[in-house]
Amino acid sequence: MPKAPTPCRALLFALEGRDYAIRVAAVGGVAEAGPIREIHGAPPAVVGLAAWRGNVLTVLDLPRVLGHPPGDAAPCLVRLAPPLHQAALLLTTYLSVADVNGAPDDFEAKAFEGKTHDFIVQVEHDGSVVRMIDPVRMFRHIGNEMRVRP
Amino acid sequence: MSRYLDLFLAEAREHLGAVHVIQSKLEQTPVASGLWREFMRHAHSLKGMAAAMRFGSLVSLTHAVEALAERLGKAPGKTSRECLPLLGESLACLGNLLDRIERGEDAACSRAEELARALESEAGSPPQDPTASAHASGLPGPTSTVETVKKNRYWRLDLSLSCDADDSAQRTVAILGRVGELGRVVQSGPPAFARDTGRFHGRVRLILQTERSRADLERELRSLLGSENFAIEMAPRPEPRPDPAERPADWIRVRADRLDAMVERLLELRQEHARLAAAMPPATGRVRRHLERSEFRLKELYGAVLELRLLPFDTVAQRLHQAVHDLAGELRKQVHFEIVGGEALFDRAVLEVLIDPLLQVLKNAVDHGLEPPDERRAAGKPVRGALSLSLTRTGDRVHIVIADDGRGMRPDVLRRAAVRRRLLSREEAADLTNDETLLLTTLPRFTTRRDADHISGRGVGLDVVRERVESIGGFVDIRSEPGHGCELRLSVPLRRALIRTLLVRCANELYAVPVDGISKSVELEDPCPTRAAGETHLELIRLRDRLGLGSAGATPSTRARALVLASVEPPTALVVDEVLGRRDLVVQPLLAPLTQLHQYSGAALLEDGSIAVVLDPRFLACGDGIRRGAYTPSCGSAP
Repeated sequence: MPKAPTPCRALLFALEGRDYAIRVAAVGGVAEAGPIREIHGAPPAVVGLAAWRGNVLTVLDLPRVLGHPPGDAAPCLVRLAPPLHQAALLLTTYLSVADVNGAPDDFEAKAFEGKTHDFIVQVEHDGSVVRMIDPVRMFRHIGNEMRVRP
Repeated sequence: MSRYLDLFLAEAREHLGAVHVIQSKLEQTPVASGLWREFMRHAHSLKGMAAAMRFGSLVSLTHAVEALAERLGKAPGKTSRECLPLLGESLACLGNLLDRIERGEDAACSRAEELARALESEAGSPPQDPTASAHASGLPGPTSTVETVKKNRYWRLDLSLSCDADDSAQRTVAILGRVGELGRVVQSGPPAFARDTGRFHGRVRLILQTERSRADLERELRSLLGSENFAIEMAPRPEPRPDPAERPADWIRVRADRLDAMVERLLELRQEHARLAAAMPPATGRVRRHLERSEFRLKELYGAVLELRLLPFDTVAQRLHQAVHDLAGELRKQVHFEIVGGEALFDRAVLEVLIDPLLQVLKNAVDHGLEPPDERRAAGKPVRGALSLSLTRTGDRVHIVIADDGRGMRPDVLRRAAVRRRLLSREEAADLTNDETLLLTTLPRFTTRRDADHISGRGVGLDVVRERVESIGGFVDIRSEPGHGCELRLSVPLRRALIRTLLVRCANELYAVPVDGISKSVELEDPCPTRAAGETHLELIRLRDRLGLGSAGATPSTRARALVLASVEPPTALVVDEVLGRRDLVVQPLLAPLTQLHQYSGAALLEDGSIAVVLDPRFLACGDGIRRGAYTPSCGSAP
């Protein structure tokens, strides 16, 4: 018997007309982005380092990772929850919170338009397809890319 | 009773871990009576706790272990080594009993009773005359633990240093480090807090234990201090201080999350204090003294709370020993496993993350690396495979090396597997160096095996190890020689360390360099040459070029400064635009994928909220091949 879709609370945003989501449980906080310190030699997906309540966070350019140009909203930082509480995602797009359906407990590899991402799975919101991102797998994916092709 | 079960299990495992560590030491020196007595004490404690909890099998077995250890402690001899396998099996059984108790299963165990009888039979054997057994077996007799000082003498050194410069404290640290290489510093003054708060009157007094002669010491100090004054005189042997480890300690248990919350609040308090000091007008007199003292007390308090989170690596040693012992038995392989440097202290959170990856690596080594006895014999190797885990500390990092003398890894096999699994094309695989190829084993689902087994799984292993290690700001490296074994190297930060650094500016960006990586700083008159003018030959590394910072902030007339790196051969200096001064910074580890950029070892927040990136100067100088060598400064000032 197929597993019933599991609703979960997610942070939603759009890039170039595509909807994306991150589970609220994977988010540690959202704040306006302050100065970001560049790290020379870092992969292009890493914007740099940012200060957050006494912590230094590694900031990832999420639109770039997903293959999109930046949005046109004011930049904000989405700090991630443990185990990635020392990381944040930089977004320049509007955010909202809603329930999505179909988020499995264990993400599987999916292919989108010829790009293979092993950190995105399709879920549903208001009858539309939303691409849900697993931040832990995303960081692992970036690390593997950097390791295999230094 | 159940209220105390968690406490019982935690303390029981600590005692069991301790006896495992002692057992591995006894394998090297089975006649060390002191070790047997320590072994007995832990067994006695475990027996008492088990009796209070009414775990009969546990009591019987620990009583028998204690009895045998007591006999061997009084009269170690030839049978000491012969008893070790039986004791090892008994310790494994004790560990299994604790696991069963934790799972709520029946703690009665017939195997424990059998082992207890076997141990009692050994313990009941008449004690041998240690002298006779020593003559018979060729083993050394009981040894005295009294240290005999043959040639070492004690010298009182009185050093007068200039305290006018802002960097006098750093220079003191650098000079003490150099003096420490001449012998063992038994006592030193003034205490650190006086130097930190500016109450430094330029005199440093040391008691140095060394085999060197007075003339030798005078020569070394003259070259170290230049024209500054020093005095040497012979000193009496200092009174030995009681070893804190011998004093019985009172222990309490604290919830880890509450301790973590306290650390976070203290960190914020320190930063608020720094912002307050920066926002005030320049303070003088009493206000300045109060600010300095409160800053010192906050730093002291923060350091003390951080220390509460530290645990010796040996607390997890029992699990590792047991895992290796059990797996080797299951696979019918003979393995000698030792842990070196287990006294190294780790932040509790770091240790919790490391334990599973280390277990996985050790299991891999026993399963895939070490050969069965027949194969080892045919290869001309000792039948007993060697497996070691060693820990060394440099600055704020601990380096863990897990090494075996087994089959090793073959890069050609790994390349073929990567191509077969479509991780790489044939051309990409051919482009990889052998070291890069070894790192393929840390990719998800990478395996050269076509079948999984219950021990090391279906290629699930080193990728998780790498992920866990990188999640705490560490990195993984692998070295191997086919037929000769494999080395897996982990480098992890000890904790959120309070590090003494030198803050520098380069290309309008702030960087911090740990002071213990610098021997001195020199000013360059001409920023262009590749070598510094002066008596000392120095190789120069321009930080701007090394990090690819471009030309921002560079002016032709800048009098650049170079930081001479400690323990790098040939003598090398890092050229920066400006040295801003000493800072004590709380260094936070970087997150993957930045952990693969080994030129950076962390980042720190300054009081104004800006971020300084902490550099690894030795990596900047030497890259992957870190060279070590003596350095003799001949000019310039200490950092």
